[in-house]
Amino acid sequence: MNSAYKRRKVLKLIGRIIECLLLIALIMVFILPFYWTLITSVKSMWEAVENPPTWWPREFHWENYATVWNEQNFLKYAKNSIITTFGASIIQLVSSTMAAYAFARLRFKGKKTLFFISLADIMIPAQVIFLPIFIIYSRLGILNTYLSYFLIYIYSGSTIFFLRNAFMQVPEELVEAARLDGASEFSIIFRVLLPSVKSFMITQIMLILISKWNGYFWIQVLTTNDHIRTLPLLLNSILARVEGLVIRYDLAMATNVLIMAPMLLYIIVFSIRGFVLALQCKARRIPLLGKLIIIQFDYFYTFS
Amino acid sequence: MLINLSNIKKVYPGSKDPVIEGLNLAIKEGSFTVLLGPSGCGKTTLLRMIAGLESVTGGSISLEGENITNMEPGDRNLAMVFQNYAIYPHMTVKGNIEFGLKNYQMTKQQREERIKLVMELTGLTGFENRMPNQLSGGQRQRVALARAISKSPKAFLMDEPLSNLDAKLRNQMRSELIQLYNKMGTTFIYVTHDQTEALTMATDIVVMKDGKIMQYDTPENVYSNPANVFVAQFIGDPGMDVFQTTDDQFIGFKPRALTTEPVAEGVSFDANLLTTEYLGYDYQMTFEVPGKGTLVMRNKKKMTSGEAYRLSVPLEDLYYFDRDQNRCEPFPITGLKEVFHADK
Amino acid sequence: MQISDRFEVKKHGGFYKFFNKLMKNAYILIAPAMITCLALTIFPMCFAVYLGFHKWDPISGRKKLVWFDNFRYLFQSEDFIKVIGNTLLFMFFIVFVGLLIKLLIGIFLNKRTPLHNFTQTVIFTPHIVASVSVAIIFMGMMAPKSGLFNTVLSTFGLPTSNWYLGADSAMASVIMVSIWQSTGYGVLLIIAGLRGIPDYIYEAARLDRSKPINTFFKITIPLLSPTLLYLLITTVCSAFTSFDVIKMMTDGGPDNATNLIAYYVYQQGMMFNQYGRAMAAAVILLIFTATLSAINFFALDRKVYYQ
Repeated sequence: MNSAYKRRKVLKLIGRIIECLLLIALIMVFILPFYWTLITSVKSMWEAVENPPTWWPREFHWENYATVWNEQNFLKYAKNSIITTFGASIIQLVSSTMAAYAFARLRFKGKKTLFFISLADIMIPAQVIFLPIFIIYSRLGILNTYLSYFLIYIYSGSTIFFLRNAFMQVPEELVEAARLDGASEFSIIFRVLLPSVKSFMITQIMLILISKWNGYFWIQVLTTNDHIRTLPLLLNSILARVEGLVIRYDLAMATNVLIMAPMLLYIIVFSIRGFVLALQCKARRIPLLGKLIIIQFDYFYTFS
Repeated sequence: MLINLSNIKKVYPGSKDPVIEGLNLAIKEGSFTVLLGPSGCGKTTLLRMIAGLESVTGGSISLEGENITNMEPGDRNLAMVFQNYAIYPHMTVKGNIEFGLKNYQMTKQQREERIKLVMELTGLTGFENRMPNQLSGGQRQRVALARAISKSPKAFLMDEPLSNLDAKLRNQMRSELIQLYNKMGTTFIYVTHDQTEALTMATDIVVMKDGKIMQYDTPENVYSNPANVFVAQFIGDPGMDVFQTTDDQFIGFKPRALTTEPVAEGVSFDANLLTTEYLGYDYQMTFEVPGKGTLVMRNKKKMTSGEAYRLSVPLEDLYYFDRDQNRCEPFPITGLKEVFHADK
Repeated sequence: MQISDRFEVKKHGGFYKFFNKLMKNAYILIAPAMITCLALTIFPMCFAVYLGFHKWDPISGRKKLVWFDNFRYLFQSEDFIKVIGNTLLFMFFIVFVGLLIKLLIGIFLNKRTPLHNFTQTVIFTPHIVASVSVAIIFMGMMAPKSGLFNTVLSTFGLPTSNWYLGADSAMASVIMVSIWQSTGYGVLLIIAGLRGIPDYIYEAARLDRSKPINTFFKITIPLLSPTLLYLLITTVCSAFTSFDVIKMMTDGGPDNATNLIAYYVYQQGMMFNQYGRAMAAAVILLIFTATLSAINFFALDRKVYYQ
């Protein structure tokens, strides 16, 4: 009895050790590429392509970042990234919120048909319509302008869809109570409706911002010069620059670190917060963005 | 004895305080035993330990003389009906019942026979191929019952099985459960916080509070012979009114024993009527005894709120409790200190 | 003051009234989105179909109705057949291998310890990083001479590879990168799905004498089917529209080894100026994705359990 108990305990311990090793292996698989990026970004041009590669830079070439930064195009591309990210995000949010509000809370003729049409882009991928849009834009002569980029984001079927579902979750009674309290539509929207879907809105906004910052396809196909090109496209030109048959991986990785910085910072801050909460024995929840994805998934099924 | 629990202790992982400690209970073969108590009293934990879904920290459980303390739940041959039925949502009614039978390695023919039998017994014939989401609440309840019956268990464990039904359906299912019990003659162990369910269905009631057994007796005795103040106030609709006497003992009486007529021998006090509620058969009145607290009375006569009354209880309707709140021999009443509520 | 005292109600006017009216007019609210939807999604789609039936030289501007010539060309072209084959191969791996990996990791990570939570976050990180960034990282790591992969392989005495630069290994590299990036998202959904299965279902199964393996295949997997189906369909769609990684890493090469249909459309249209052929390929792509969406919305709805 006693030895069986001991054996079970030993087996359990071995199981725990294997589990921990597997977890660490998993973490390695997903962190190692980021570590690789970071160390390569501070290696010298020659060390970055050395064979075999070094696991720790022999000397730190922080000036790689300065080189990238002072590159004539970098600031221009960075400026474009910021303008397009915030511009397109705000436009997408405002227009989608308006439409979602109408679809969620107002009654009007043709609502069902219009809502169905508004889901068009879930079925029509960008890869089908980019060429016609390119042709239309070049006819209108608005290629390589911010306007041309922003126009696309006035309509986003999935955002309308998710926001509409979020608004529909707010109980009608809450809005009616506010109305009886003499609240105007303005304060109903900004003091009742939006606050009650706050966490959903925040995560939705973050997802939109991230997708714009990371955006590549539309900028790639809608530009013929670098007037509005953004940072992800800068990677192309840096990789294309070969000095004496050496690809400048150091510069490419430094640029890459700068592009990924906002997201990586978010994840790091989030992990630290998660650990602090864990230390304080507070309830641990799924990452904020993760939660949104799950909400989206739920809506997907509520609809179908 | 069918099930013997001796010196049971339960501590949930991560907490220090035991939910249950030093609990002894013997459940009679063929009885309908109801575990009754307010939420958090440990009754569900106890049931889940019998089922094997919850580990036992200390003590032992035996079933028909066999020690089952550390046995797998599936090997105990007990069936459980869960509060939310726990029907497999992706299987048909038939599939739900068959799933367990397959794990018991029955042949197809045996399974078919059994399914037919329990379907008839629970009145589900014709619903074999329905999915759970096409069934009403009552029908789902029946599926859960059918699944339990199909295994011919040594005992049925039921965890508040009627609490998710509406009032009318609950009454109906209650009488069906009684009929089922009479037909099967198997032991039922039934957890509830609803005393009506307990009093109407049980052959034995175990009243629990804070992981301890307050009284284990027949429904009649639990109702009219409460062993302590807690049971006295918990059972009955409403429970007893209890006064703490000036020497810290307790006297109690049923709200229906209160009268406005003067009594020859008994307790009397002045009270102001606060509210009157009409309950159909009679009225429930809430009184304030000046300086002592509020108590309730049940009477067929309507009384007007806001007026003062002199209320009395005849001596033969009084229950006596000692300083530890346990039933005791009658004692001379020195004086009334305040109205006492055991749950506060 | 007494609770029964009344106070005066001020009536709204001016901006509030205007805003109130505006917010009640649904058509004004949906106008920006709907007009853009028609002008920049529905109309371009029709235009794409229209172009698919034409031969159009963008330089001279001459346009000719050729009916199915573009489609005939595509299906007679070895390149396009290869592209379709590539797309299906790519899809097969990221769907089935990818889903299996996500499922295994999801089940493994479905615990609430800090280490498990941290691992979840780490695995999720690539999902919010730009695909082009991921592509660049792997290009560095897969570099034949200085890359990490070959170094590790040769330390263990294993044969090295040209990875994304070799005709026979490019597809595998691209698949690897795509799976690596999308794992976290799927794992997260699967964990949420697993946590959505109530404990009492598992308890009922235990009382039914179900062994863990039996419970996994008969209870867990069927109850996880909505999540798995959602992942399946979104992954299939992403296989058809995969562009960023391909453009960055291989440009469809070497020798069309990694040319997928979405990239082929881009290549024909933007690089070779073959608008007609590009749009004919786009129509084929549209048929795939629209069918999937339709299956998603209408047909499979009945086959899968949801509460």
